[in-house]
Amino acid sequence: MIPTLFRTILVSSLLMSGCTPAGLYYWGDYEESLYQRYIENDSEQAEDYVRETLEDAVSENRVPPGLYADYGFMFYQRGNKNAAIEFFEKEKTLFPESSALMSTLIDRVTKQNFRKRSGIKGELE
Amino acid sequence: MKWLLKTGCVALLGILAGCSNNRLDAFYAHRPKSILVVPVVNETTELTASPSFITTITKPLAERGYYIFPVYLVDHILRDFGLVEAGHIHQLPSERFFEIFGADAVLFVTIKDWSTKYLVLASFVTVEMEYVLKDTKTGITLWEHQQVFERSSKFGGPITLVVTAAINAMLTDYLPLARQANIKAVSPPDGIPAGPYHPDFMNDQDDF
Repeated sequence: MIPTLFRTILVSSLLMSGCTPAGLYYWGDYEESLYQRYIENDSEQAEDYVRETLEDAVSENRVPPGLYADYGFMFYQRGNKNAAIEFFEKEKTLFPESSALMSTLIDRVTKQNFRKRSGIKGELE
Repeated sequence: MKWLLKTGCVALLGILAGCSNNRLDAFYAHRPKSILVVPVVNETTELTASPSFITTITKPLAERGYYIFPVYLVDHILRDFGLVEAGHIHQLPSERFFEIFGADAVLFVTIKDWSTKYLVLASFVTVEMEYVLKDTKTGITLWEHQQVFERSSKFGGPITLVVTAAINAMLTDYLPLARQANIKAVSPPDGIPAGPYHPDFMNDQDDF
């Protein structure tokens, strides 16, 4: 009786852990947001996906690499400098590997001068 | 005789040890922390292959424990440098990607196959990619791999054949296959070692 019960618990706990393979990060609709940008050319829908994914990822404390930067770039494209800088800073803090690029972008946005296209090049030349 | 046997054994051990990890020697010598995925070269005639594929590569690589630069932002920055053509980007010296992005390594992906083949009673969807990871300080190749992923589906019967084939052609979803191919490509035994954000970091040599 006891071994049977034990086995049942063991099996069900294995099944349960199998159901939620815990990755390192929360991805939500991130891939879908890329699809909206690359295939559907729907930047509004893409932005909704990124925002919602980021909110959930933050609340789970599992923000994937690039997501803050991606969201910051969306603000940048709309001309919202302060929000862009805020999110580039967050990317830099969470992932120091992005530090060189984020610093360049922050510098560029600060001195902006919105050039045609994204205007990032000037700073890097 | 004994001496010969001993020498032989030692030599054999040496050869075995030497062989075990040749493939990843360069990788272990450089151990990148961050990977830049640049626009993908598409060798197929399917125009949506590149933009579809690029949506699937970030997650599996990041889950291996590496910092992955956001692909969409990377595209825009490259465009600002006049670098639009993937074939051209793949020809650039890898050092360039350290200068622009501060990335430790750069991943060049080439799509070799992205197709659906219809046979009488089944269809085969195939994706195939070649992955080459290079160090951005030295330009040397850290890892390379070719991955095929195929799915076959049987049609219901002769009557439904025509209809099903037409629907499948419109809705063929390559994304799940590309995702599976990527996961398989970057995981042991043929993939890349776990990166700094992965719990197995520095502890998975035996898996390869």
